[in-house]
Formats: sequence, C-alpha cells, structure tokens
Amino acid sequence: MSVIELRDVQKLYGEGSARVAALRGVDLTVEEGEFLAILGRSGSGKSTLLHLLAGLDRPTTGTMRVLGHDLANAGPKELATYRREAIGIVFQSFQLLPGRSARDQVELPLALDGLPRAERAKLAAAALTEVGLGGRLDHTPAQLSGGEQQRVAVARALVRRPPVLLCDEPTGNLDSANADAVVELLVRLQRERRCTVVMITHEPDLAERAASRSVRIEDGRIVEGRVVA
Amino acid sequence: MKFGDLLREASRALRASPSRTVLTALGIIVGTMALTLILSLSLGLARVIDDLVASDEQLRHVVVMPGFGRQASDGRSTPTVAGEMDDLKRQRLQRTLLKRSRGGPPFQMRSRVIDADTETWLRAMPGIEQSRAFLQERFEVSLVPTGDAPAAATAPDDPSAPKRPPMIGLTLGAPAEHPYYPGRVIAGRWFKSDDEKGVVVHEILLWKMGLTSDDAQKALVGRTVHFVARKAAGGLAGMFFGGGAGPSNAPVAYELDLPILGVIRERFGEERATVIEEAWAMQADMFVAQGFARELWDKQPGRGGPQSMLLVARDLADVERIEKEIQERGLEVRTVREAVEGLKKGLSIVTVVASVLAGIALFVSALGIVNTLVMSVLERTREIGLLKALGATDGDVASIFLVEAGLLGLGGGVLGAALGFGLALVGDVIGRRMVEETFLMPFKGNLFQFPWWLALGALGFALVTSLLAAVLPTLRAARIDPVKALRHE
Repeated sequence: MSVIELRDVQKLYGEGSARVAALRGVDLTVEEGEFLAILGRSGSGKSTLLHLLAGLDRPTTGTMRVLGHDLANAGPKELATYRREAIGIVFQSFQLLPGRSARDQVELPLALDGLPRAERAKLAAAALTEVGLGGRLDHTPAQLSGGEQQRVAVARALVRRPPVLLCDEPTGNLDSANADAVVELLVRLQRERRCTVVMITHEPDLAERAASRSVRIEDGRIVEGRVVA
Repeated sequence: MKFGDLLREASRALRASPSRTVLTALGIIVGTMALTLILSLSLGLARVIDDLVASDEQLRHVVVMPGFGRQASDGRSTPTVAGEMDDLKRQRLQRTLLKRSRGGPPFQMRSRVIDADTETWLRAMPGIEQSRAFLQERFEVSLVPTGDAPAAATAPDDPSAPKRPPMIGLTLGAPAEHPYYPGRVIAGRWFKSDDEKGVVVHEILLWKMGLTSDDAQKALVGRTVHFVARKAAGGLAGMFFGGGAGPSNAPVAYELDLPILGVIRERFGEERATVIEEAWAMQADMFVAQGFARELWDKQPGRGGPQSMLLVARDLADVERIEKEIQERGLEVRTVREAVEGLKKGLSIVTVVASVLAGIALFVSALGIVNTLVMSVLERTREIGLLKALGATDGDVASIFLVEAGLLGLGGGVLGAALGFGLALVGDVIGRRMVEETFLMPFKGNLFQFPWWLALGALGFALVTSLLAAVLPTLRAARIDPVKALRHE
C-alpha cells in the first residue's frame, strides 16, 4: 500500500525574474514499511522535498498525498494535525532545546497532544530507554555527546509512534562511530515498528547500509532510483 | 497544549531572563500601584464626604439668603471717584470700589433681609418640613452675682483669655427639638420649648470668664446672666462691624436677665452634625430657644426679617424644585446637595486626571511588555520552528506568549495591588493624623477605601493591559515560517 504519493510536484521560490525552481515535477511513491533514502548534493532540492513531506511547506503545483492527507491543499490546522499524527522528524542539527532534560525534550510532542504529565513521563522514559538512553533521562543537551543528542531527537520523533519517520541528514553532524550507531538505531527501530522511513542524505554508503530503496535527486528532479535490499 | 503546560512554558521563559522579567514587571507594579492608590483615595474621600456631609438629612437642607442689593446706601449703583486723574485710573478705582462694595464704606451696597412676605412665603412652600431663621445677636453679658458666688471666677493663667465682665457674647436661636444639641449638653439641660426664656451657655464663654473646671461650670446652672443689647449691633453686621471684642458705645436698646439652663460643648470627634447648623453655630457663645430668639430679634428697631433661613425639605426629590422656585423669586440659595455635587465633581476631575496619569504609567509598562515579548519571540525563533514541526498550531504558539504576558500582568498586578494596599494603610495613618492635627479632634474614618472589587479590578486591568500589549508579538510568533525558523541562528 502506498503511504506517500507525489505527482508532478513543483516548488518555486521568489517572484518574477528572481524565481527559482527547487523542485521541478517530482513523482515519487513510497510503500508502507519502506526505508527510502533520497540522495543528492547540496542544493539539489532534497531538503525542500523533505520539508514538503513534513508539511512544513506546500508545493507550488502538483499533488501530494501522505497517509490520505492532501498536503498540497491542506490548511495550516490540517497540516499541524498531520505533523502531530502522521510523522516524526529527525533533524541534522538535532533541534534540542537548550537547558532541558532529555525527558523534557521527548515529552514536548506529547505535551502538544495534551497528555497528562505522568503518562508523558512514562512514555518519554520508555522511548529514551529504547534508544539506549534510559540512564540519561535528566541530562541536558550540554551533558550529552552528539550521538546521544541525536538519539534523544530520534526518541522524540518516535515517541508518538508515527507511521512515517522523516530524517534530514541524521548523521550529518556526527563522527563516523556515532553516525554508525544512529543508522543502526534507525534501521532497528524501523524493522521493529514496521514504520515507513524517508531519509535525506548525501552519503551513498549510508543509503546503501540503511535503506531498502534509494532515489537520487538532481536539480529538483528525481533522476535515478534503485532497490538496495 | 494544556493550560498547565502553557504556564510551565511561560514561567520557564520568564525565568530564563530574570532581570528583564523583573524590570518589565516593575513597570506593571508601579502602574497598578498608582492606579489602585488613586482610586482607593478617591473612594475613601467620597465616602468621607458621604459620611460627614451627604446624609439624607443634610441633603434636604436649603439655605436661603436675600443676597446683596444693587444700590449703595445713598442710592447710587456706581461709585463716584472724585479727584484729578485720567479716565483709565478713574475707571480702575471705580471698579475696585465696586468689587469691594460688599465689604464696607466708602461705597457699600445696601444689605438686604428676608422681608415678612418672603418669610411667610418661604415657610408655606409646598414640600417644606421645617423652616428656621438664622437669628444671631450680639450682647454684652455678665454673671449676676449671688450672695456666695462671684461675678466671675479667678482668671486662668492663659494671658490670651479675656476675663473681665461684661463680655461680648453671641447668641444663636435654636429649636428645642434638635437631633444633636441636647446630646452635647454637659451640665443642666437643653430647652423644653421654643419659647423658654433661658440660655444654654457654651463652655468656651465660661472658660473666657475664667470658669475653667467642669465643677465650676456645673455650678453655674441656675445662675442668672445679665444681657445688654445695644442698637444696631445684631446679626452679621454686628459680628463684622460691631466694634470688635469689647463693649460698644452705641446706645442701649434693651437689657434683660436670663437663667442659665445648661452648659453645652462643641461637636467633637465623629459626632453627627449638619454642616449648615455647624456653620451657623460656629461663633455662638450661647443658645436661646428659637421662638424667644425671634422675640429678641424683633426688639431691635428697623431690622426687618432674618438675614438667612434654613429650609428642610420633606423629600430629597423636592430639593431641586424648591431651589428653583426660590431662585425665581430673586433670592440666593445654598444647598448641601450643591456643595456635595461640587465637591464630588472636583474629586472626580482630580481622580480622572490622576487615573489618566497612572494609566499612562501602565501604558508605558505595556510598551515594556511588547519589547520583552518581541525579544522573547526573536530569541526563541528556533524553538517556535521546532514546536510547529512537532505539530503545534499557530494558536498553540500564540497561547505560549499570551500566557507569558498574562503571567507578567498578573504577577505585576498582584504585587502592584498589594503595594497599593500597603501604601493605602500607611496613607490612612498619616492622613488621619493630618486630619486630627488640622481639626484638633479625633478622626477614625478611612481616607483610603480598598474594597475587594478594586483589588480585582486592578488585577484585571493589569492583566488586560498585558494581554493587549502581547497581541502584536504573539501574532508575529504565530506567523513564523517553521522552515525559516528551524534554520534561524
């Protein structure tokens, strides 16, 4: 069953002569349970594609359906609901809030859902334990390594058990050892939870190791796709 | 997001910049404090006016005066200024004399009285419950010696107290049935009827005579006072132009002896009284029953009616009509209602002006809130982007900043109102002391009123001001593009 379906998606920035096309007619389908890697160089449009998939931005033209949500035509409220219910996001720069404990970071999406504090604390502790940080619940970002910070971010993205996980260069800010650990974690969690993962990366090796399928994007177009495993 | 979580987020943000938070809150504290203090004082003063002056009884009082005439004693309506001078100087001096024409010679407007017809008309006006003429007489008074009692006791040490009889004493006519005077009698009794021929002496006159102790004053009840009335010495003219404190050389109009029925004291502390009667009795050394006072008044030749009258309306609703009818007859009217309205109007103007100033202070503090929240939005742009990426709606984001502003407003409002309350308590103590020192009598009233609704209103006002100040920064936060926000450094 297709979880993500993009047809002729274009994204243009700017006005008139300053207009730039970030995506030029992207067609993409992702099946349920797939681990898709989107490869591309800097400026190729892969981050724009991820932002569209995350419902943080809307395409200029084309159709986008993710888990039944019509992202091209959704209003701000519907997009917020989509972000809350359908997806989890892992950023390259972790996007952890300074001064807050790992537990607080993971509780944040649950607080937005209006869950009671006790339940939030329990779910956050479980999610952090799942990513191997059960002993660091009260550590702040400054007290954690880069790899640990990204694992907190993964726990935050997955604590609501979303059907789709979007990862934007998740190892981009990590050394190789930590990058390997995070990739292994993502692969394990995807298999255990049978969720759909879309990962943006510029490293073919990473795509090779983690993804079940990869596509390449150049100048805003998907130019190549192949099944890895 | 639940309200508890919004509160936690907001308080976390406020704690993150303690000095900025304190400075912003300080503006709200000062503004709220000033506002509560001003309104509290205004309410307190209005209450004091109501308690002391604006009782239903007093508001029904109407004082009627004939006013001054438009012609001088010699029939001229414009003063003549003789002598060699230019026209401008003559005009200036004429104007000066005209301005001073109610004060005395050389150009004095004829003093008017309420004539018999007018008095009858006034007393018969519909809606009048009581009417009383202001009858004040000036006498030379002395105690009639008895076999074992002196004419006056030994003088006190105070050199300022005149001691030699005969003395000048002012009598005031008063009704036998009176709500307050009988309660102030410290020896003997008040009048049994309006025609009783006797005198109730003020303790100050006895003190002037050298009879200082309560016992000495009590011993006077039953003794006789000798009165000497001289011609043209009665009423206000007698008071002001009658030759000062000593006996005059005018021919004697009549003499009489009256028994002392009682000794009366001044109103003291917060005893009930009516403003007009207190003003009438201000200079009175002795009281005589009003019917008998009228008899004495009429003994002076060529006097006409009284110089003013007090009318008491049966119903408060009639007062304005009565006032109007009297004015239409060409008489002057003074009412407590008018005076209270004037006082309250003045108080309202001062309150409005002061409140506007306090409001400006609060407005300036609101600008502080705008600044604080704009900074907060700027500093937390990435956080806003993250919240939106995690599914926060624009409303969720706006709520966080609104609650932050609300906390500032509420905290500042609570502290401001509490500080205002504290200062009002201190102000009350100082104000009471000032009143006591000024009026030389105990005062237990409150110059500041702090009802619960004032505290709640001040809090509400601080809260609403803060929330209004937060509208623009909040909209700005809610409209932040999450993609740009996540890239924000």
